[in-house]
Amino acid sequence: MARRITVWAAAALLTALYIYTVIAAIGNAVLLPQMADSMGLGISGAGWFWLVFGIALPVLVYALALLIGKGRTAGPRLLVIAAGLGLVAAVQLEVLHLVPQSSFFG
Amino acid sequence: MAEPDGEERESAIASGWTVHADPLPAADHAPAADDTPSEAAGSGIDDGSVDAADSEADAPPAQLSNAALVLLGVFGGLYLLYAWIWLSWAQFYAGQNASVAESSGSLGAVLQQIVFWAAPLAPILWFAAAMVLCRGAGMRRLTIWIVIGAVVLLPLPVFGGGA
Repeated sequence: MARRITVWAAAALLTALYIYTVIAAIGNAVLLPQMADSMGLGISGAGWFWLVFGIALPVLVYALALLIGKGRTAGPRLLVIAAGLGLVAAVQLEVLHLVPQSSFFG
Repeated sequence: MAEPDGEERESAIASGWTVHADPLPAADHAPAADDTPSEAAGSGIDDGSVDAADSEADAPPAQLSNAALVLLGVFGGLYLLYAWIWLSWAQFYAGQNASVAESSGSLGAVLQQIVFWAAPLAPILWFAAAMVLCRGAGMRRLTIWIVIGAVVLLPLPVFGGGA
């Protein structure tokens, strides 16, 4: 029973983190155009790409992780979901620091 | 004249190997050294057992374990290197990341920080997941997943200069 609760808690935490990354990305996609507007600018094509990418990546990775973990026991499934979150985090760091902020506006 | 030359060359080679051989050649040699044995082993095994592998045929464990050891050793080292690099980048950007996290509310800040610090764990988690998932599935699938991970988790900031 305790094991079940632990597994569900871990799954809930991981899922919450995925959901958070999606919500944060949607927030960016909504707020950044407003910011650009207030500066008299628009969002460039590359900017839109990265904004949509930020929303799509966690969703895709989460779906893929669930698909890969399908039919496995709880441990491996959690491991795959956690590895997917790590991947999302790594890519997010790369986008955050390697794509110049100015390239979003144009 | 001849002796100092010889000594210089020897020491240069020796130091070159001992100093630089650690991270980069390991990464460079990894695919080259591993493609041949693992593919050879894979194809050799495929003929016999992959069709039957679903049932239980783990007939040639001795051959497989050689390739497996080389693969896991080299890529395990590479993945550890990745984890170390990601950790150093997460630390390097910690201040900037904290300000990004602060901008997303109190709960958001906590979650964002967790997500940021999940990046250094990614290589370790990927390696563990690949090991666990491909346990009964043969070397070829494990190799594919580990190579995919090595490409996908490549710490790109390394190539972006010291910015």
